[in-house]
Amino acid sequence: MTALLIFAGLILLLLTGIPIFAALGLTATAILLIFEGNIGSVADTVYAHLDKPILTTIPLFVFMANVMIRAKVIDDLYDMAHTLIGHVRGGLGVATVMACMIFAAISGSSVATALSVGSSAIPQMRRFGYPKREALGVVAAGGTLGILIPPSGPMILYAIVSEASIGALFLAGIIPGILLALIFAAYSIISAARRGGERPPFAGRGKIFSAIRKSIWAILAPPVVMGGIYLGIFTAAEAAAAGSVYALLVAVLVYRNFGFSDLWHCAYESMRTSMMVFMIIAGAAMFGHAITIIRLPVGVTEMVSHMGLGPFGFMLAVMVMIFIMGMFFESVAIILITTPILLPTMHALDIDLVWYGVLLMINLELAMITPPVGMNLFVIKGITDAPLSDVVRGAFPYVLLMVLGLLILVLFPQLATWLPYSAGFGR
Amino acid sequence: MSPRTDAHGAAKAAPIPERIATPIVWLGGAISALLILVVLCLTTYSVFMRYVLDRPPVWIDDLTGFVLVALVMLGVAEAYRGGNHISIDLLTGRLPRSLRKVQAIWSDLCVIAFAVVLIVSTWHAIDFAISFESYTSGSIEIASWIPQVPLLAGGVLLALFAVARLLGRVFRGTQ
Repeated sequence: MTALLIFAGLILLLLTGIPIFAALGLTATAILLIFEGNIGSVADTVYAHLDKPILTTIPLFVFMANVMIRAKVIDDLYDMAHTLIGHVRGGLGVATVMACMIFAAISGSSVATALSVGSSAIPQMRRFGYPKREALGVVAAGGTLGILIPPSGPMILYAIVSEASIGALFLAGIIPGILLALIFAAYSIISAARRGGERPPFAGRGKIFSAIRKSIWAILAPPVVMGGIYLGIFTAAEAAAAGSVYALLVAVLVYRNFGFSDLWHCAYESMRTSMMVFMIIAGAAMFGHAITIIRLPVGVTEMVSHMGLGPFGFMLAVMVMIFIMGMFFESVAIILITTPILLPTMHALDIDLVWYGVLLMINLELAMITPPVGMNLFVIKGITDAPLSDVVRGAFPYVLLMVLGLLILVLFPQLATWLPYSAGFGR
Repeated sequence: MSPRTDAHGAAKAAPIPERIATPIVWLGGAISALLILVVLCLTTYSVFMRYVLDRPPVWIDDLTGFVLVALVMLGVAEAYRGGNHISIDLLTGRLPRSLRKVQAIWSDLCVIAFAVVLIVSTWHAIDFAISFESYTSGSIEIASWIPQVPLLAGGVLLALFAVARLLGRVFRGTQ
């Protein structure tokens, strides 16, 4: 009953449109005042959660992406993918998914991926007769790969809250990310084959070589980041710094279009973007502290054990719950609200935290293209001026494809866990 | 480097209280942005020392932790000024114009309440640390109230700007 009241209060507060961090913090304050009679522990809790060096990954990955975008290092990514594979039937859709994958591996953000790839891919697809909805849908869905393919901001947050290894989670996202991209690409090819119509001519080896050469510095960025983690050279925070240094070197020495004012711009924008996440972390830290004091997570564990759900039933129930929450709430909030509550139960049921993390990310990807609140739907609407209903309908087949991907991952956890555990990360 | 006057910040067209608070809040944001570069330098230095000179600096993690807290707390109000803190506008986005103002005032009041909680709690924590004469554990040993000061500063900056914005809204409403 207490849990229900707390959640009802939190959801009500969130729906009044106040910043998420304030809703979390004020709910926590109310709990502390009612059950403890004071708020003395708030500052220590917030400090303890912000004092973690691993959090530097958030501003540094954002900074790396900002530098690459500002210096136009990634501008040629879509051209490269389109030159390479555009002539195949459905190739422009495949090129879009491919560009989204590479961009996701640089930016770590679904919104940035959809925004950047969408602005070049959608006009190109429309030019070659792609139905409007299909063009909108593939970008909306391809963009969501940003939170599954490492580096991923939401993955970092989940790792911090669950204390799962960030390196393991990053590696765990690679195969499912590629799997989803392949499913999207296959759908694109099949629907293009059914539809028929025009396609661009083969660009020729010379143009392909030139396109790859133009975008080589962008393509090399993911191996610099992930290779360092995979080989055990860097921690996640160091990999983020290495990626930022790489981006700066490429911008200054290769592209030669990056000065001090650009550096300032990137740092300032990274600050603004990161601050949104950091303050939700602060609010969620207060909320997590308050619900731990009243033993709410333990209560959930006891309830689940009374219901006799078992690991599979529990996971299924959680996935359905997160899918529903995803329709209304932002992914960062979902991670930070649900994880501390579910964590003790996952430990009790011996559920692999890395596997759960990947399932959670796919579910959050779904959240980005399901109405009424789907960030990528709004982004695509914003850059194309298309009616939201067209974007929603275009994205719908991909919702089904992602559910298929989610089911495959539920049935075959090794697809997520094999790579990190074979690289030496322990459970 | 100057306070933004674009659509988000809208400092130029903003009411007087916001215009007064903006430079102070912006300065906090500017320091926060610089601290991102400091964190980048610290982490890069750490990697360099470990792999090139084989002398890994043990104090880096502690210092990075201190810098991170300062980075977050000094930037929070500037991000608030720029409208970067997300909220769920599922219902509020459909409100009529007249009610939107009430919602905005409610939102400002909640942010002020949050900031006050942070200020009061941090004040107690600092007071306790000073009276107890406690020191940080780890490789950098300093009085433990020092790294907590940015929490206080962040709370004050956030409260300052939220109050300024609230006054601006009320002031606009009376004209």
